[in-house]
Amino acid sequence: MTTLTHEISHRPDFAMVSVKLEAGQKVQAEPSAMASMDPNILMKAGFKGGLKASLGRAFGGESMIVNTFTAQNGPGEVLFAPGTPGDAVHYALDNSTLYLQRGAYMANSDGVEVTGKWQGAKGFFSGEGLVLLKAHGSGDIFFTSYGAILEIDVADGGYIVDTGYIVAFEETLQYRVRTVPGMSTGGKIKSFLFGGEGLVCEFSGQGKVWIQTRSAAPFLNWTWPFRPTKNNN
Amino acid sequence: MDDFDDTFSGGVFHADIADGRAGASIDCGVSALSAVTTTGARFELRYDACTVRIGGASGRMVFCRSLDQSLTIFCEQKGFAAALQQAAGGLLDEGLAQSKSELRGANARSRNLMFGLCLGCVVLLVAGYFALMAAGRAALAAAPPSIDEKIGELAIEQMDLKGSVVEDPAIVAPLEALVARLAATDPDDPFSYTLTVVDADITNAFALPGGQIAIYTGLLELADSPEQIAGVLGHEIAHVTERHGMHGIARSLGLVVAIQFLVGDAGGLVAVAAEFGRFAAENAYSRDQEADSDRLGVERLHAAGIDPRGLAGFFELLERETASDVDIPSWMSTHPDHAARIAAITTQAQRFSNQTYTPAIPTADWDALKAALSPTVTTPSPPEETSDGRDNR
Repeated sequence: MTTLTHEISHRPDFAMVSVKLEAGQKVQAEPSAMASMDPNILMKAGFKGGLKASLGRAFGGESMIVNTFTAQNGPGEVLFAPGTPGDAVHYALDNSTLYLQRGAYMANSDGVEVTGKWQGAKGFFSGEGLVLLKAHGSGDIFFTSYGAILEIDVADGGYIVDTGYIVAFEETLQYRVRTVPGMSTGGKIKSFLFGGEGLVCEFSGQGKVWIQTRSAAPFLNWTWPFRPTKNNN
Repeated sequence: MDDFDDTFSGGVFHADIADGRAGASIDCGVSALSAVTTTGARFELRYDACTVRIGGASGRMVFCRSLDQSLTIFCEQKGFAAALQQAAGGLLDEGLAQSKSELRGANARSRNLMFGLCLGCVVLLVAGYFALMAAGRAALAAAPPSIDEKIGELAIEQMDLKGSVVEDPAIVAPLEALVARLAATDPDDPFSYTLTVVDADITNAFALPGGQIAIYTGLLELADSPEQIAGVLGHEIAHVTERHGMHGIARSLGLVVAIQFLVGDAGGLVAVAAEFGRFAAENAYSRDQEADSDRLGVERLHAAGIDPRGLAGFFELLERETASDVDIPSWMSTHPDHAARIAAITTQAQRFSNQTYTPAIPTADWDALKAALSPTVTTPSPPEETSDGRDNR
């Protein structure tokens, strides 16, 4: 298991990931994530993990292309910046799997494969899209989100997250889409249609879930009335 | 001791591990599960002091937990549940079976919810579609005829008529008189009609919202009698009075525009509507709308004292034309099923009690119209004999 020496600075609002590579060490990242790097770092673009994994990433809201950064003739540093204002989190995979929301992937070390995982109707109604990203293997993965990221330890009681606020969760957690507990059927329908809180994700089992402190869609709704408009009449 | 030699890869939850969790290789021993983490820490969990549960994101992960809940060994690998069951010698059968049935129940509930939601979405879509159509119709009913006129005028301005506008009074005047005669049959008609004769060898005529009617010289050429022309015009007028074009526009523009029509913000929308109107004119009305226009056209012709069988006669003419002509005229392609329409028109025409009709266009005018048409279409005039003086013979 390779471990990358890394540091995440400027958290949580404008997080930046700095990875210090030893000679010959590699890190892979989504296109356009690289902000700066030492001159001895070689960047190479390619379809990582073959066609299936690449397509999986594409359906999971990522690029099919992954850039590989390799330190040549000595150590070097690469800095990665996420596309949105928000947090970045490091997670060490230990022959395990981490599920990520669409577009949350930023970078990973060797030994980790990032692909898509079909969720179907469950994914659709959970607000996470039809395909989740799945990172599997042993190594490091960095994921990002709009807003800050909170790590939650789910214990036996389970945990409920509003759809659209899930950033990542561990494979040991079971998740299902359900209606808000403790509401009457009429209340549920009313809430689903007008309250915007109709469906939630319930996590159960033991493990961690990462949630974001802001969701992009409500923010866009909030900015909508302020957008500049052109009057054609 | 470890007779069940399968080693599985999974993980361990324990407070002693950094981060509380680590990957591990798991062995199903005789009396206990043993797990060795990637950092070398070893954990044991006796079968008689553990509970099992199946779950995880995949729904296939097996969790074995100590009774005091301090240690959990988990594994998702295929065959682990079976190996565990075998190694535990019946101790965990009940727990596994119960967990499996719980999982099935939860899956079924989830499936039902998903199915219900999908069904709900479909119902909403369908209901939304019909609501949209109803709103469009309501908006149209509320829209004053002046909107039809605005759209029709704009549309005909923007249209590529595929020919020049004919201004020869010998052609235009009798046709305009015919339109006026047809229009006069309904004094309550809010629309006024403007006829445009286009010089092009196209067997077609069309109506735009608000009373814009265009007829091609190709169609006039083809017609044997003024009653056939009257039939076509009667049919087109019915498209206008029934606002068929506007229905098409309302459908195309959808709810938002329909509401804006109601509210009265017509400015930019009229331009868009004109675009759609043009599209509607160039494309077929629905079969029902065509049948309606035939029926109303026949009624109007009868009311104007013109033999309505002219319309059927025109269709017969078209049918003969297309039989001998590979290039199907556009009138044909947008007005299918001629035989049925001819039959319907003839049946309807026979039911009228008073069948005294006068010519649609007085014979002298009709002859003049036909004569005026000839040079415009069959232009090639015989080359004039010229002598340049040098030719002495």
